[in-house]
Amino acid sequence: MKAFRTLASYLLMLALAAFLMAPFVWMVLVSLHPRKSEIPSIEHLIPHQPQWSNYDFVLRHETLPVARFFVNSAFTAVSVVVLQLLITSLAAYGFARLRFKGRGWVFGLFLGSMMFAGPVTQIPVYLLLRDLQWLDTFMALIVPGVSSAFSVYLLRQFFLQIPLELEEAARIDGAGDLRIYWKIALPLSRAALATAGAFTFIGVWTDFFNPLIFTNTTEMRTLEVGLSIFKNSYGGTNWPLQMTAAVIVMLPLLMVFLFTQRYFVKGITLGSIK
Amino acid sequence: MLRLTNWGGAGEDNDYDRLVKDLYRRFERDHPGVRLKIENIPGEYVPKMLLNFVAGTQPEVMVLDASSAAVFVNNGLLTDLRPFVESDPEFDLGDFYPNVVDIARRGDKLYAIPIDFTPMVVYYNKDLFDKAGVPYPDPNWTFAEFFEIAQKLTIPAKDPGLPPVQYGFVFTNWMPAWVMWLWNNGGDVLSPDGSKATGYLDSDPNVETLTFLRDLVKRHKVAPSLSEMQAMGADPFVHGKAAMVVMGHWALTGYKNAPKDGSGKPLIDWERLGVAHLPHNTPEPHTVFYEAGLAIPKDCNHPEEAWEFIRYWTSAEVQRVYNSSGIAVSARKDISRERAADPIEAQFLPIVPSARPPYGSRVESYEIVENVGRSMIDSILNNDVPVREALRRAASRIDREFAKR
Repeated sequence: MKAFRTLASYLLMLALAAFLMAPFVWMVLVSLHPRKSEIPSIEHLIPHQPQWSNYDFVLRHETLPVARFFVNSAFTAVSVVVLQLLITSLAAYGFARLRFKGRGWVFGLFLGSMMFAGPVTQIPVYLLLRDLQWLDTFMALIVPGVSSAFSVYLLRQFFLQIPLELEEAARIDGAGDLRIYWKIALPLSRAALATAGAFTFIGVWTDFFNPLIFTNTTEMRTLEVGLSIFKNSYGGTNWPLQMTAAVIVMLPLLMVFLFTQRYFVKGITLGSIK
Repeated sequence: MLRLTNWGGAGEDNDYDRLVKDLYRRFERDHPGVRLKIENIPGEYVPKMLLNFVAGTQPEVMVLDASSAAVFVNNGLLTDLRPFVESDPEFDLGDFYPNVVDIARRGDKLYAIPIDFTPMVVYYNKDLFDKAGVPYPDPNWTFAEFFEIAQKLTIPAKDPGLPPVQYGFVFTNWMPAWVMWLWNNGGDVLSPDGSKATGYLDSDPNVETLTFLRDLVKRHKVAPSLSEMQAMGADPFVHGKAAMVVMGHWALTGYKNAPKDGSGKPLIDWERLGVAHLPHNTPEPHTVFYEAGLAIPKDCNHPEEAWEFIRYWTSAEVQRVYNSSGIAVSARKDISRERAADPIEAQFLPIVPSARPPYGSRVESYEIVENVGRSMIDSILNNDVPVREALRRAASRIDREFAKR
């Protein structure tokens, strides 16, 4: 009986997984069709001769440095994630553990900044970057992204759950605030850090408008922006190449998710269990 | 350094990119000390350009798209080019099509020199016409004649439950591809000053026009429905499964490289491609043309060099090379006539005089109208909203949005 129920639940999960996977599988299969073919119907979905050369074509496109876009995106996303985690975790630790006057107010204001729609800050940020002469450099792609009220909030909630006793013990052993943060708070918060990092990575990787306005030259474009040139050129008429480009954009996201999935789920349910 | 902003889109045809790069390099060679910096902006061209103006980082030369020119022209963001034109003995505006030049003209001021343009036309597949024994379109065909032809060219499937195996026409729900139908039945979109839609978009001639278009798709099924189009994913015309389509000149680059069937034969025969005026119930046919011009932003750093570039780029020798890409019709009369040695190109020239500028060249935020127009057609074709009702709703929605500008 128990075996039967396990089997049933596995079958159900398998069906569900297949259902959820279908669009991705479709995307990959269409990307392997010959260029310029129509969207294949279901019975013709599996290509006769998989056109792996589509990937080569996109990655080594004659006039679009797609490989360079990829490197730009990767360098930007990794830098933003690392810097942001460092900075926001410090801020979060401060908000969680340090007592200072007006802490609640400052934190409230900080959270309030999440309420602004992106476009409101775009122009001031653009002007600032121009004055710093950072437009069209990695500084413009990275620096505006390193602060995130959301990450601070998420990490603060996590730090608050770390028992105070741990901190007190460390203090008795002579550790200062920074040391406690680095040696105790951070290692205990891997789940929260992974969650915040993954969210940030996805946000940076898929951002279109900011990289578009902060960079000007083809060499500085990120994958998302660079490939929209692709979409303009092939849009609606060349589905296999469109899907090839989509797979290339999505693959890193998928990998980040797979590697952090464990923490991801933990992070989202964070605080739901007392 | 001379910065030039253009919209992005490396063509499928890499020869075109090489060709353009060569032309840029030639300019640099002929103008020692001037280095061109080309900035391609893929998508969101207008917001990004406006931001450039706000920040004072505008380029020396910008490509101005007729369909979104109004916001730059009407707000005084561009330099009047008349003084340059008048003081340049070698430059003659008379070399260009007057109605194309007029797109960027306001009174005695001129804000852009046109490079090329593309009138919207009806493409038809002569092979399919011949197979059905239907004569090619008469330049003065009416809506009724168009319908008759479309019906003759539709081949229903053996099984009545299935969609036709061949369509007479492809209707595209994209306002630039259907706005001319309104004009060709005596209707219009906005009031003459471009300020409101009520009383114009929802007029009786438009009800008639859209009922006609709706019936093509829904009642007579001579054109695929929007969902069938989506399911096909690709233009049925280019696959030889539809006899007629309305598109701009740019579509030719795709038709030239049409996909091939199993035996390696192209699905549409380039040699057998016809180009016709849109059908019209009015005495004269109308169409719209989408144009690209070069403009010099106000307060840019090197207006003199910018003008130097513009006259270079619009010169006959550069246009001859540039235009060989075949993406549009050259704005220069001499070059487009030269190109008319090609039988397909030749069919475009008689259509040019009937073309009028897109609303976006005069009316700011015209994209509001195009967005509302798209969802209006959606509501008619997908949700069975009565045509008159859909037009009325669309008109009042446009007026509400315009009031917020």
